[in-house]
Amino acid sequence: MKTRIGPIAFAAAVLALASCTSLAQKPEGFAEVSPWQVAAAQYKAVSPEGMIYRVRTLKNYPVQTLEFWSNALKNHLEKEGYRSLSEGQPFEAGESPGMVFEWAMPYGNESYIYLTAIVVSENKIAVAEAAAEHTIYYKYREALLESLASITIR
Amino acid sequence: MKKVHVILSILCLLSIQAIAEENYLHHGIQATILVADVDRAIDSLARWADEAGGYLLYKSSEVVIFRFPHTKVGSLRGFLEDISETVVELSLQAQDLRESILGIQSGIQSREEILQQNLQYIDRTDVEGTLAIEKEVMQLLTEIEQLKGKLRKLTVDRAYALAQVNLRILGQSLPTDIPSSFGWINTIDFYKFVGEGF
Repeated sequence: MKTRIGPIAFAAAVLALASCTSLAQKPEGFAEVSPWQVAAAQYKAVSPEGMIYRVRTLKNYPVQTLEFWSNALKNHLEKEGYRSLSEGQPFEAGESPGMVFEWAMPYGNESYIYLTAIVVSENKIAVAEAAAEHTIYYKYREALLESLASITIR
Repeated sequence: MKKVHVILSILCLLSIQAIAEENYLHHGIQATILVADVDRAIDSLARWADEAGGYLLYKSSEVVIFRFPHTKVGSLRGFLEDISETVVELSLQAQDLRESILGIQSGIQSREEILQQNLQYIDRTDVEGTLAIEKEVMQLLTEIEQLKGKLRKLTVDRAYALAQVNLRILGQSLPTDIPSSFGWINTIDFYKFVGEGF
């Protein structure tokens, strides 16, 4: 009996550890929001200025490629009136391809930058978002891009 | 050899001047840039306009308006990129002023001809007629001055481009909420994201 409990407990521990692995690495200068404070399949971090960085995974349905979803997202937000700062910047998150967009947004009397990024795998899409007043955004931009490259889709 | 260089330099300068003189386009530039230090950006823009041979028209913490020689239009984007975190928008409009200039010039010419004719009539008419002609002359002179003013403005427009550089994203209107056919795309919403907190 003892010999059976050992491997099962080990497997359970491995599974538990796997489920605790973050979707993304914490951007430098950010504080991670505890996993039990955010919904499942989500990662959240916050900067001292209150800039929020969120990554979540969704089902890739209908199953499509990065190119398809990038075009769908860009077309939709542009139709809604979002002002794109670029055509989209491709990046690699492990073995999965990703695309990041930055949008210039008026918010109150301030100018904000809204980052939206997607990483697409066969079954899932990871969606990353971050937004802040532009001076704060540019302070953390490199850290955010580094974190995007660390996104792991489970 | 030196003489050849001097001659070539003079020829080059003359051709540039000729291009500038032949320009009939008025260039208008509308830009929105985001900068970390607004005051420094305003100073940089004013200095750039001045060094380019232009001049500042208006400045505030939100917008800087200036004129600068049309020959420098090409170098404005690079300068804006240098002083800003990002160039959100840069649009260039060009308007051909030939038709307007020709219209005004012919307007001035025809009024000057009528003016000359009226002045010739003054000597040959009575007091009542003189007063009527004088009134007509005054009217013509006013119109000619107005047209000359418009022509001067167009001449300035030909020589100088007009740039309006916004230092923040203008417009308070929220983007329209249009539903997407793809469910997850509907969850991408800047205002909702910013308002949610953590």
